[in-house]
Order: sequence, then structure tokens, then C-alpha cells
Amino acid sequence: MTPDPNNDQTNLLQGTLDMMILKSLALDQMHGLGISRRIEQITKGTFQVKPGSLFPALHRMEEEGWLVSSWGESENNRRAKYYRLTKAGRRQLESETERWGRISLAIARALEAS
Amino acid sequence: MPIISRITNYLRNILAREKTDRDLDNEVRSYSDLLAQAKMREGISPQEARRTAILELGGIEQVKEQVREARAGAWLDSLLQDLRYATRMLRKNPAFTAIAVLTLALGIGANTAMFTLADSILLRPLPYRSPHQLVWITEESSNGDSTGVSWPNFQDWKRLNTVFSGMAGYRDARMSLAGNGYPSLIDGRYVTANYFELIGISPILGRVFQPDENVEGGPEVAILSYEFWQRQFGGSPTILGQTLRLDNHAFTVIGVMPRGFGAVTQTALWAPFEQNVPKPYLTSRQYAWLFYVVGRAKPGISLAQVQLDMQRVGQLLAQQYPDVDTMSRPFLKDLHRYMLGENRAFLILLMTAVALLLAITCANLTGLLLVRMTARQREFSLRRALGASKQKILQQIFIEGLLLALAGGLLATFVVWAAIRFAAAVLPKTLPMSAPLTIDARTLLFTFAAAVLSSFVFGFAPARLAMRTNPQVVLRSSSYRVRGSNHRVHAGLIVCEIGLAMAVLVGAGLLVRTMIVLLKTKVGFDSTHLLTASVIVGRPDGTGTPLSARLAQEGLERIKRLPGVDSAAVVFPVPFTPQIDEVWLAVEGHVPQPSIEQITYVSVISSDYFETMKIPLLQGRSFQKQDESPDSHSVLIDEGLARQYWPGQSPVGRSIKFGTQDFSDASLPAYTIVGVVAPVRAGSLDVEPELRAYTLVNQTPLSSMSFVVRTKIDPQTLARSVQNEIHAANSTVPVFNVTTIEESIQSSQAPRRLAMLLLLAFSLAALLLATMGLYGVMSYLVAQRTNEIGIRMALGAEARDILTLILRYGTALIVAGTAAGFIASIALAQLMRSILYGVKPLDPATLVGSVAIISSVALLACYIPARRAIRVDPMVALRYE
Repeated sequence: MTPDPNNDQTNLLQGTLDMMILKSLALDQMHGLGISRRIEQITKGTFQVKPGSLFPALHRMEEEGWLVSSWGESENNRRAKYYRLTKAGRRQLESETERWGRISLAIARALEAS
Repeated sequence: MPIISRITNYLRNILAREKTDRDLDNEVRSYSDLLAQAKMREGISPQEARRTAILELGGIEQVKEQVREARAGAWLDSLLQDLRYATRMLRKNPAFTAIAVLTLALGIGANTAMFTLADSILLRPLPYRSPHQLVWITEESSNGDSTGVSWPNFQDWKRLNTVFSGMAGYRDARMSLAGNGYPSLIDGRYVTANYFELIGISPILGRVFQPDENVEGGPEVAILSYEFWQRQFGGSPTILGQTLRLDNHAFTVIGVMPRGFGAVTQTALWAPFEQNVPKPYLTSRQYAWLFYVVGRAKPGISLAQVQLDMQRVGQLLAQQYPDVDTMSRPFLKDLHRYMLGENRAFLILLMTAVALLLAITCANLTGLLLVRMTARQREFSLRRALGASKQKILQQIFIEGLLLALAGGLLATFVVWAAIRFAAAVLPKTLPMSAPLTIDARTLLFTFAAAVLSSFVFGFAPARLAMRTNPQVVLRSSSYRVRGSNHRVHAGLIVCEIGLAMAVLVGAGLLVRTMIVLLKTKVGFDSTHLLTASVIVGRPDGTGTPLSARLAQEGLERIKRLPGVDSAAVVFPVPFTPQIDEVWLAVEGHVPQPSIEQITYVSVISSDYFETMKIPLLQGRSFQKQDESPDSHSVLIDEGLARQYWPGQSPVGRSIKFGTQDFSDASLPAYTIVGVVAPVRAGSLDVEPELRAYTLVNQTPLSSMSFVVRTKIDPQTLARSVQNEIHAANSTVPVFNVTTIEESIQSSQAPRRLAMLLLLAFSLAALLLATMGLYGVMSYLVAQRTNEIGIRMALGAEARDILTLILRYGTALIVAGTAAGFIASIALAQLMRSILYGVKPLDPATLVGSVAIISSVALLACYIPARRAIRVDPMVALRYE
């Protein structure tokens, strides 16, 4: 993900975007706009994913084998490309979640300690 | 990512690029559509919704580009793109491309050819097992001479040393091989039984010598080299058990060695040493007889340790046998280094010279590219302004350089091919080549590496220039000018080029001077119109040698009757072949000093030798009829010997003995000195005349000797008839080396001559390149300053002033370049020290001459652009602004 210097938004840690995308696709397949909306929604607007970051990430993750894509009809009969998780993607989500849990716990402890 | 899917991704991204691209385009557009629809649902007008959607998206093309860069193989994609662009750029400037590729082809080609040569001779280990463990050993006398190791000492070395896992010995000898017609001559090597095992070579057919075979009176057996087996017997599979007549004895073939093994030492055949050596040599400590030792150091033992241990052994033997072994000590060398001899120095010099040539090539190309880079600054600035990253521009510059270098490398392969064919024709045959000269994978790898490396070297400065350039400044000004610092790079390059070219020129000059000194060297006899023909009379063990006197007499009688022959004589050894006839000398009334070994060379001659060779008689008389009776022992000595033992006196009438240092030794006959002749250089042009005594052929049986024939006509025309006459006198002896003395002298200098010619060629190329570089920079400078020159002229400057202005800059470069060249020359000359003769490494004439040549050519290169400068029309020049 490319951090946008003009945006005051939280500068996401490397790999966090991947995790967000995986998480948003955990329940159902989704198209690009859907994914960015979902991320915005689940983070209550903290993260706004721009297409310039989203699409490169999607394509990279597809090449990694975590996602597969297919063309389909959108909710209002528009053609859109849908992404869904593969088995490898699910595994990746689990390990990312676990890793993130460890990191945030560690950071929280570090901050409390001082 | 698993490797398979990675590869599929790469392939998809490259091969199905259009489809993936279309897919991506659709995807991004559908996103923008969906976004616009969402906005319309919020009540924004369709037009406005579409606009804000694209704005929020950040541009469809931009997003697509970002995805492309994130894809697998994106670097490859951009590489291909750069490659296509670079090809287009190079094609657009054919003149530049041609010059660059050609210079590179020469620079890389010369280096690769030199590498291939050095690789097969110098770098590749000998084709033996663990060759680094092999040490060559001889005995060296106090004056540095060496004629090999005595057999008893060899036995003691084996017993006393603690550093070798084994030691073997050998003696090279020419053998006469009987066949159909006249016998031919082959190079043989007598070896101890363990020789092959020690070196680590097994025969491809048959077996090696057995220890119980290698004894006095043992069976006459021989092992053939692969090459000899092919040449002489057509590779017959039934060769084992067949007999060869060598030196008139029947030898049974018991083995064939693998291909290439004999070629390294130019050996056709091996035979056991012990049964082929004259008896006295197996028992006496004072005869060495060209028997050399190869030892295999135990694993982990260094050459220094070996040296130390052998020194100890030498001292031990000196205490035990003070009368013989105090005079000589073991002398060791790495076997490969020994086999290379002086060729090593030549190879290292030539490799250095071609490396310098490549450096000049790179400097030249840097200059060319810098000029071009300046012209392309707008292009690069525009691309930077349009968002190309610095890295992208750098990649572009290096790829263009790499493309040039690879094209040059490709063309260089042809240069190498031609050079190798040339080298195979002119190289001395005595080089120990571990591999045949061919273009192989190593050669190609070297070419490739040289190309890549040079592309980085000459790409560096242009890349730096491109990086430092501020696109805003470039794009704002209408005609961008190179800044001063760029001039400094140019100037630095030119100074380096001139300096390196001068070093190579000085190297060539020093060798030329050495050759001139050598060719002018007085050998002490008249070398023109002299034909020599050598014969092998008997076996080296002494059997058959009484024949020598008879053959000498009959052969000479016949040869002298030939029309065109002035006189003829017999000699052993003939000048300008290895001088191996070194013996101890005892002088009547002269007590030998323990520290100085009394030795002299002895030539065995027929009485008319001095007359034939035109060696002046200085005192006394030459040999006469009465000296030829078997009980007369007359000897002539040369001036050197006379001066050493009878300074200021006449040695005529005094007596000497050979083979001992003690004159009271009654077992050896005393020779009476009847005359003194002028000294002769017989070993090599670059070695001072040896001390020498001459005895008569009828008193000393020889196993081999040479006829020398003084002719009235071109000696070459008599070669065949001289050979026929010798065969008419005796058809069983092989006649070989029928050649003129002049030719022997020339070929003794063949490696040096070759190095000189190559160095001359290199220096010419270096000079040409440096001049081209200087010319280019000066022309460029003049073109850059056209405006300034125009203004100066408009303000009243004379043509002279302008000329001075331009030439002053050029001269400063030349002066700095020659100063740098001076320093480089000193370094190179040090490297050449061992191959120079009669000229000092810092020979003033060579230095001054090189500076003169370099400066005058370089000044010319400056003058032409300077002339162009004074023809500048101020009106035209200023109108450009």
C-alpha cells in the first residue's frame, strides 16, 4: 500500500491492508468497490482504501494465490470483477490475525508499562 | 509464492499481456462506474458523479500503472521496455553505435584472447593429480648453474627428507627411432619407476613401469604418449607388446598414456631411467647428467616448508660428502612455474597491457557517452518531469551501455577466434599448454564478464551526470550547456587515457630497445652463412659413441666436397641449443677455494671449428694434425677462462683437467693448453659468454653432435644436400635440426619478439584510442565554445589568440597525461624487469621518445578542432543565440 502523504489518515503498517482485504472477503465474495466500502465500514472510517492501493494489492494477492477472481453481475446488474478467498487465503488470514493479535498485545503492554 | 504459480504468473503477465491489460481496464472502469452510480443514488447529477468518481479513483491510467508495477515480473516488463527503447536509440545513431561497438569489440576481444592464452598456459593447473603439491628440484652450484641432480644424492634426498610423500626423477633425451628409410628423432624421457604414480596419471592402455623393471640391465620397455601412438601407429589397438628400435635397441611397448599428458612436456615416449643411464652416473655424486627430480609434498606442506627441509638435507649431505656436496645445494621451484620459465613474465606483461587497453576503451566510451548524455539531457529531464523515477533513468542508461557492451562482446568473439588462430601459428611450441587453445565456455564467460564489467565502468559517469542534472534547469533553458564539472570529468578521462597509452608505449619501447640490443650483441663468431645439422650417434649410455669420430671425419669429407661449401666442422653442443656440457675444472698450480666452484663448459670440436665459425685465435695456436693422435691431450681455452686463472699471463703450455677440481687426481688425463680463442656467446643472447674450453672430437666419444657448415651461398639451399651427405656417410643416424645459426638465434628470442610485436600492436591501438578520445573532447569543447569564440573575435581577438586559447587547454591535458603516464610507466617497467636486457627499466631514451610520440600525436588531435575554432564566423556564431 502506498501511504498518501496528503492524507492525515493513519499510516497503515505494511501487510495490514492485505489483512483487511482478507478479512472483508472472509464471509462472501466481493468486488473492488465493495471491498473498499466494507473496510471503511468495519474500521468505522479510520481506513479509506484508495483504488491506487487497492487494485495493486488485489492483483498481487491473486498472484500469491490467496484470492481468485471472476466476472459477475453486481447488485444493480453491472458487470464487476468479484474476488473470493482461496484455502491459502484463509490460512493466510488466520496467520495474519494471529500475528496481529500478538503485535497489538505487545504494543499495548509496552504502552501500559511506561 | 510456490515456484510453479510464480512462473505461470510471469508467463501470463508477459505473454498474455494484452488480455490481462484489457481485463484490468474493464475492472477499473467497472469500479468507476459503480462509484458513479452510488453517487447518482446520493442525488448528484450523472455528469458530476462520473467526474468525482474518476477524481476519487485518481485516474484510470494511473491506477492501471500502479497495478502493473505491483505485478509479478514487473521488473522484467520494464526491462524489456528499456531494452526496446535502448535498441531504438542505438539504431538512431548508427555512427556512434558503430564506433562504440567496434572499440569495445577490440578491447574485449584482445582481453579475451589474452585470457584464453593465459588460461591454457598460466592459469589452468597442470593436468596432473593435485598439481600444486608438485615441486621441481635440481642441484644448483654456487654460480647459479644447474645441470641436474646426481643419482646418489637423489637416493639420499628420498631417505632424508620429511616433507615429500614421494620423489621421482626424469631425464629428457632425444632418441633415434628406426623406421622405414632414415631414422627419425623423437623426444623421449627416461623416468624412475614411480614417475607416473607420483604425478598421478594412469595409462589408457597397458601399464606403467614396475620397480623391479627399473634396474640396471632391466628389460627395455617403453610407454608411448597418446599423440605419438596416434601419429606413428595410427592408434593401433594392438600396440602393446610391439617393439620399437630406439637408438638401435629394441624396446617393447607396455603402455599408452592419456591424451595431452605427453603434450605438456613434449614427450613422445617414456623409458626406464636406470637401465638407460651410463654406469658412472648411478654411483658418482659429481655427475648430474640432466637428471631432475619431481617431488610431491605431503598434504598441507607449503613450498616454504619444503624449501627449509631440503636445505637441511642439503647441509647434511654437505657434511657427509664435503668434497662434492659443499659446492651445490638443492634448488626448488613449483613445478608449474618451472615449466613456464620466462614465458610467465611475458604473459603477465601482456595481460597487463591488454587490461590497460580495455581501461582506455572504457575511458573512451565514457567520454563518448558523456557527450551524448549532454545532448540527451532534455530527453532525460522531460522523462523525470513526467514522473520517471531516478532508478528508472539509471536503469535505462545502464541498459543502453550493457547493450553496447554485449554487442561489442559478440563481435569480440570473432576477434578472439582470429587471434587464437594467429596465436596457434606463431606461439613457441615449447609452451606447456594444459589445454588446447579454443573458444570454450570459459572464454565465452570471460567475454561476457568483461562486457558487463566494462558497461558498468563506462556507464558510471554518464549515470552520475544524469542524476545530478536538475530537470527544471534543463527544461527552462533553450540550449542547455554542460557545466564546468562535466569538463573536469572529460579532462580526467583524457589524462587517464594518455597516461595509460603512454605506459603501454613505454613498455613496447623498452622491449624494442631490448631486441635491438640483443640483435646487435656480438656472439663472438660470424653467424651468417652458417648451416647446422645435428645427429644422434649413439645411446646416451655411451654405447656406440666411438662411431662419432669416424662419422665426423667421413661426414666432413663429404660435406666439404659439396659445391658452395667454404668449410665445415663438427661441434657438440652447437651454439644456441641448450648448453649442458658443464664440468669441473682443475688447474695446474691453482688451489681451489672452497667457496668458489671451478667449472667450465667444454665444447668438443673438430680441428677446423674455429676457422669455420671465424672465432679469432688470440694466443698460441689452433688444433693441428699432431693433436689428433689418441695419446695427445691438447685443449684450447677462451679468453674468459684465461683471464680467470692466469690473469696477465699466458696460459699456453699450462695444464688443466676436467671432471675434478683437484689437479692431483691421477685418474684423469691432463690437457695441455695450446692456444686461447675469443669468447663466444653460445647459450643465449642475453647471457654473458660462458667460460669455455675446447677439446677434439677424436679424443672424446660423443652420443650426439652437430655439423656446422660455412657456405658461400644461402645456407638454406644446402640443407638437403648436407643432410644427404651425412646419411651417405652413415645411414643409421637420425639427422635433425638442419637449420641456420641465424635461425636458431632468432628462435631463441621468439617469445620476446612475440611479446614485443604484441605490445607494439597494443600500444598502437592505445595511442589511437587515446587520440580519438582527445580529438572528440577537443571538438566538443570547440563546439561548446563557438559562441564565446564568436564574441572574442567580434571584440577583436586574432586567430592566433583563439588558437592559443584552445591549444592551451589541450596542452595542459597532454602535460598532465604524460605526467600520469610517467608514473604508470615506472610501474609497468618494474613488471618487465626480468625480460629486459641491456636497457634500464627507466631508459631515458624510451621515456623521452614515448612522450614525444604521444605529445605530437595528441597535439595534432587538438590542432584540428582548434583550426575549426579560428574559422568561426563571429556573425554566424552570435546569430545562434
